Formats: sequence, structure tokens, C-alpha cells
Amino acid sequence: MLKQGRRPIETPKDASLQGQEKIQVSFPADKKYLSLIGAIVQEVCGHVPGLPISSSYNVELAVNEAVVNVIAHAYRDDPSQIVQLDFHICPDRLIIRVRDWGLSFDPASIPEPDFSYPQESGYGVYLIRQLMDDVSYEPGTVDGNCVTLVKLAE
Amino acid sequence: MQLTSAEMSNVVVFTLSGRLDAYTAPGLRRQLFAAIQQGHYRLVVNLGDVPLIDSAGLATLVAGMKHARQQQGDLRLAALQPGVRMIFEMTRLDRAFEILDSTESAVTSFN
Repeated sequence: MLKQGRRPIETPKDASLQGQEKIQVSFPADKKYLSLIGAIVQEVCGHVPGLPISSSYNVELAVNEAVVNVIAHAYRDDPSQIVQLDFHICPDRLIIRVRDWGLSFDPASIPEPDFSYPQESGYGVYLIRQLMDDVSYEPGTVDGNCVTLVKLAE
Repeated sequence: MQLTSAEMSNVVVFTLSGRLDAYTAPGLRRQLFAAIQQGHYRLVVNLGDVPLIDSAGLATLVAGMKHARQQQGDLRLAALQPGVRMIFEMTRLDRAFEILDSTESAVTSFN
């Protein structure tokens, strides 16, 4: 899902590419860890060359939304399950993959919110799309369901 | 997230400290709905010490606002940090809520 006017962003799938460093974090599917995840995301963003502080806020919130979706929808709030975050620190971008091994769902099936009135749900997927430069979803792979979030450094 | 409440000029003011996210939002929801159930329909939520609100936090504030307005009251917001304000603008919720710079101006706005 690309923002209008943007060229397709090539997202390397292999962490062994030159100039890329990988950090992997696994944690129980429990919302009590959201602030911990946020702190980790902020710290990782500090290691991406040229990524402004304002971007790290956007990335933190996008990852938060993606993780909440996994906990609530993929795992139905089962804290015995595992969520995995793969951070790929590249010279010009940050790639974050959010993996789960639960029920798959298609974010494209979530319509954009109706902005004519305030809603009590439906903003999460919309915010991820707005906050990141590229978002893609691969359900049911060998490595689980995967949401890939990309933020370009400036 | 820490949550305190106080009454000022017949308005209940909730002051939050910390993230308002999917983990902490239910606690706020319980407090908001308890206040409304007790007959307090004029509510202010001060977000001056809230660095991040996620979609669950937004949902809780929307639910409280709708409930209060159903009782001819309102839930108004005070002191949004820049990042939080950006999220309200992104979701167009900045047009749905009355947002003031301070608790005092939010309380006064009810009169």
C-alpha cells in the first residue's frame, strides 16, 4: 500500500544484505509490554542514519498499532503467544517486520474511517498507513504472518 | 499511566500522566463512565503529560465524549502535546472535540 505519488519501495527480504543490521525482539502477546516496545522502537530509530526525531514518534505509534492488531486479532488476546519484531537498520531506511503465528487477517479489508463523524474503532490500520512510508502484508508464510513497515530516512 | 481526578466549578477534571494506549485506555474508560453514571456530564481530560495516544486511547475518548453529549454534557480536552495533536488532526478528531490549551480554559468553556 503506497501513498499516492510515491515510487514503489524495494524492501529487501534478506537481512544479510550489505550495510544492513538486524535486531530481533520477541515478547508475549500482552498489551502490558506496549510501552516497553515503544521504548525499544525509539532506541532503534536513534541508530538509523538521518532519521529525524519526528519520524521516530511516527514509527513508535505505527509499530504500537501493528502489535495491538496482532495481539487482538491474530492471537485473540492470548498472552501465551509470541510476537516477534525484526528491525533492519539500513543506511537509508528502517524496515520493521511484525510477525505472528496466529490467525491471519487482511488489513486491506479494513475500510478507511468515515471522517464525517468520530468513530470508536477503525483508526489503527489507517494510522499505520499514514505514519509509515510503505506498509505490506504477507499472511501465512513459513515465518508466520508478517506486516512490513518501512520508514525512509531523509 | 497515572490518573487523578478533581472537581472544579462542577466540572470533573481527569489528569493523565503517561501513555494512553491499548493497555492503559480501559482504566480511563472505567473512570469516565463511572463519572457519567454518577451524574457528572461535564468532563475535562488534561493530556499535558501524555506523550502518545494510540487508536485505543482515541476510541476511549470518543466513547466518553459521545456518552457525555448524550446527557447534554461534553468531554473536552486540554493541553495536547504536539505529537498527540498531530494524531488528532490526522484522524480529523480535532474537529470533533473541543480542545483547549489548559485545564482552566477547558473548565471555563463550559460556562
